[in-house]
Amino acid sequence: MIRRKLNMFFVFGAVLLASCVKENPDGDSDVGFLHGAYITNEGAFGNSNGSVSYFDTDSAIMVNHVFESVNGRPLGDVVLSVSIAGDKAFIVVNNSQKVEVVDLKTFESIGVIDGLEYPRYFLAINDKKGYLTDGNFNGRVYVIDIESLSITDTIPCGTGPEKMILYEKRVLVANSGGWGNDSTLTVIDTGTDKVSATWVVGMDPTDLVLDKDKQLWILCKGKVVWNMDWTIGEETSSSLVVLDPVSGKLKQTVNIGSVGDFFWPQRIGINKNKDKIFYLEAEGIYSRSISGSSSGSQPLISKNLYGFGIDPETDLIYALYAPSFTTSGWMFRYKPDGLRVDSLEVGIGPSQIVFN
Amino acid sequence: MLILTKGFGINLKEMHRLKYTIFSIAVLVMLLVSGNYTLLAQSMEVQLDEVQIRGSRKSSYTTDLHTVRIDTILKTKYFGCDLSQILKQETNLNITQYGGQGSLASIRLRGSAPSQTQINWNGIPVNSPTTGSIDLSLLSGGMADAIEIAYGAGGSLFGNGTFGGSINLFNNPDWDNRISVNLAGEAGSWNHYKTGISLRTGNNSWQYHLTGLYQTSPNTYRFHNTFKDGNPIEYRMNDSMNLLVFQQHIFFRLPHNWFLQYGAWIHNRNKQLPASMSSTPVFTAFQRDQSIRQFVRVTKWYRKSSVEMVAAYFTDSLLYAEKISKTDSIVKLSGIRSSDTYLSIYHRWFISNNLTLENGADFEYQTAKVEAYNGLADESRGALFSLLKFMVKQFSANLSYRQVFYSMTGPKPLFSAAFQYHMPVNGFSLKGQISNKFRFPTLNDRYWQPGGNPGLLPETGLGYDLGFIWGAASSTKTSINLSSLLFIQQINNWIQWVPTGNYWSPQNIRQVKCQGLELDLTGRWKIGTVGLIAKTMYTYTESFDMSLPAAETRYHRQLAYVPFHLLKIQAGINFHWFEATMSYKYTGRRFTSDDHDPWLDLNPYHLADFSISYTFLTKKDKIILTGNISNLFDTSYQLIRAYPAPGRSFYVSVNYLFNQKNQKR
Repeated sequence: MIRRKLNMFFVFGAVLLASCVKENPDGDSDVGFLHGAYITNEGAFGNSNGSVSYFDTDSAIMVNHVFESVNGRPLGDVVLSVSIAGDKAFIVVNNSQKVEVVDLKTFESIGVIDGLEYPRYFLAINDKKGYLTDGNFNGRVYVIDIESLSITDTIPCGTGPEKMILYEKRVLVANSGGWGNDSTLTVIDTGTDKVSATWVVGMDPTDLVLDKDKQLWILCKGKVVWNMDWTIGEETSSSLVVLDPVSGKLKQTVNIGSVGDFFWPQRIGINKNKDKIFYLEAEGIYSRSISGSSSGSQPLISKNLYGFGIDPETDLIYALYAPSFTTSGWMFRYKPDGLRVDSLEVGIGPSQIVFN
Repeated sequence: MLILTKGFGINLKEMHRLKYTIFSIAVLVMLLVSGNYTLLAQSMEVQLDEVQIRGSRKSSYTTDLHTVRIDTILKTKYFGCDLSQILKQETNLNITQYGGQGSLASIRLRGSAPSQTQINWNGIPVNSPTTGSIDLSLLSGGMADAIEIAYGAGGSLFGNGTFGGSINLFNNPDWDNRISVNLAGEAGSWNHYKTGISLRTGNNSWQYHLTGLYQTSPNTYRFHNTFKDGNPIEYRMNDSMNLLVFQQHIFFRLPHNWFLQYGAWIHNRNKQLPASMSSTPVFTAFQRDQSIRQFVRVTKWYRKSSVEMVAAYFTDSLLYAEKISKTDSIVKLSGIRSSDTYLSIYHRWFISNNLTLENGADFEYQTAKVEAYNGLADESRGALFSLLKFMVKQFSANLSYRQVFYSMTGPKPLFSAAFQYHMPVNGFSLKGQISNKFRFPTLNDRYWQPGGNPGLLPETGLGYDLGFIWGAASSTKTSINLSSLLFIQQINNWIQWVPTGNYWSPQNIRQVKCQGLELDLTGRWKIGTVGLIAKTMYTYTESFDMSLPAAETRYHRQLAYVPFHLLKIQAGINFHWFEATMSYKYTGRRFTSDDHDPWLDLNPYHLADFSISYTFLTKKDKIILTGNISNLFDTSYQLIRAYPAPGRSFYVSVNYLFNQKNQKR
């Protein structure tokens, strides 16, 4: 107990130190955790040891287990994602079937959305409502009232809905296939909360970004099935599919993995100027310009990583490394050219990073 | 539910066909072998009975090891209890469990992993071919006549996976018995009910044992939810289990010094799988475990030797289903079927009164059908072994050698040496052993897709024990016994599943050093008609990851779920037919991550249990009434992170023992 109290003392000390060096333009120093990076550490499946690490991008101070230190209780099992809605953060705890909502000024819990099946990602639509993807087979998008933290509506979508993106009063949902396969985006009208279209893109779309020309880049990881002798029984190419986010018209398809090479990318990101795409595969982080040039067959950053993100202010690449799911992970920061800047310890199984 | 039964129940027709094939072959082999020895048959010598009573070849070589034996109390106090319950109550072992009765229970003996302790039923391993370990709550320890824990048992004596040691369940005949029946019933907190029967009958030539048990435990116990604001009290959901088990054993003393034992064990358990405390579950998970285990042991005694043959066929099936609570619709369904065929033959030669030599061979064939294997996976392995036991008045020792044949890695030589020396100092003995050990990769390790690694090496290691035993008795009324033992165990190529890109894969990544101290002190006093017993067991265990150049964060750190300190104190009193026992257990801090993240540690806890019983006598029968309070002070604790253990629970049981020949205390 004494040891735990000491740990809490140091955590609060670190938070205080971080807070001291960040002031908003109005001179109000009480911004708490509103500005910075939030790393979700999934933890080991079934062990309820997931956590959130807060990284103050100005002072470069990392605060691990920030939720536990403030609220005095653990988060839960498979802490998958954090999304920001004003001064609130929605922390999706996938295998605890809940979303913990915290006040970013203090990181104190202000409510829990539970009774979910397989929650994945939250997206704030405005200051009144947000969408939450849910389901590993037949998927759905829940409409969440941000004030009451209640589910007000359910919108059916494809299989295994994952990331979403908001563009001109419509939300595009990547139906990743979950524990099966899918190849569609669901388009939802945010005014009516109804599905307005379903677009066929590529096999198992899982993540998506908008570039500077307002083109939608969709990472389609492709389908892989193994045989008994370790040959691949069934596979489709993995690709970057570029669409017009309004009409859904296909602009181009860039094959980044071919049948036989077992290339199975998981995440996508974009730089500050929104003219360079990054995607993560088992070998590391690859990059390509939206105009066509790529880092080639070799990754920009060669390391078996579990997640990554790009700081929209500094263009630094934050790479997340999970050496195993029985020990803490690491966050490595790289310059845009792939040169490592520093490394910091985070929680178990770091997989996502969000900037605010 | 009906669909599940149809899809995954054991196919009895197929099982019968296989069973009869195996046993036909086994009987044929036995007849062929026995033919060569029949002419030499002589009358059985008295000294051989001792060996026979111990029930297993392996067990007769554990006397020089650190062993703990639980026997007479099994028939009444622990009738119908599973092995995890008995070990938690009677020993100081490190048992972890996911919740209430029937939840997955594992042992981490001497700082090893659950798959590194071999569990034997009448000398035959019951560890799962798919995972290497076995859920202790699936083993009906209370149906055994004796349970023996052999700490750090050598690989050359026992075979695969004995870094921690071995736990041996025996069923033995009582040739003086004619008929005895035990009817048992138990009721307890959270609507727990258990009822069973044990019938034992026979004569000097044959004995028959039949034991049956039915149990239902909803496990809706109270707990503090430490994952919610204010740690509210909640009631456990979706943790119920029901169990139906039968065992039968037939023992024959046949003419010409033949001995035959046949055992069968049918086990069916339905268990809901509760969510962790962090969840507000909308899924409910369910598991059905079914097992049929059978063996036959034939022994032929000669004047100065014996030959024993064992044939066993075990099948296990596991069905896992996940449903959405609201709709009751199944969203996930998977099943595992596995089988294990075991054949063993050995010859024991009593060269002199002081020297015994044993030579033999084991063969094991395992199969498993798992969805993730994309078909049936199988594996066979064999071993030749030689054992030499030497015994004089003050000194005993045994040497053993085993040559393992395993298709994946080629021959593996194993050896062990153990001794016990009774010193001239009154009641003082020294004992020690050195042995190397190994563990094959499991079928999951090799065939699971994606990730299974066919190139895995077996885990290997060398272990040492050294300790003493001291006993003193001032009269028949007072005695004191002390044993203390130091152990060191190296485990190389420890297999662990780690993320490797897009999937997980098992790798030989750890080098682990386990070392520690085991201390037992027992005192007994008799004051008039009052008997007193006090027992203290303390274990200090270091289990350090010494891998280099492993991640710095785990180097020289204690493995997860292995506490440094375990302490158990028991005090009992008996007076005429009244008996009461109080026990206390302390379990030290446990780490749950390799780098000892303090936010994830499990706090130390103290537990106390109390039991009281009274025995009523009639002319021939005996009725034992027992009351138990488990977790007397309602301690809130977790054996596995995020899975609460039961709070204070009350149990009342009655044992009606018909036709008891011995009415003495």
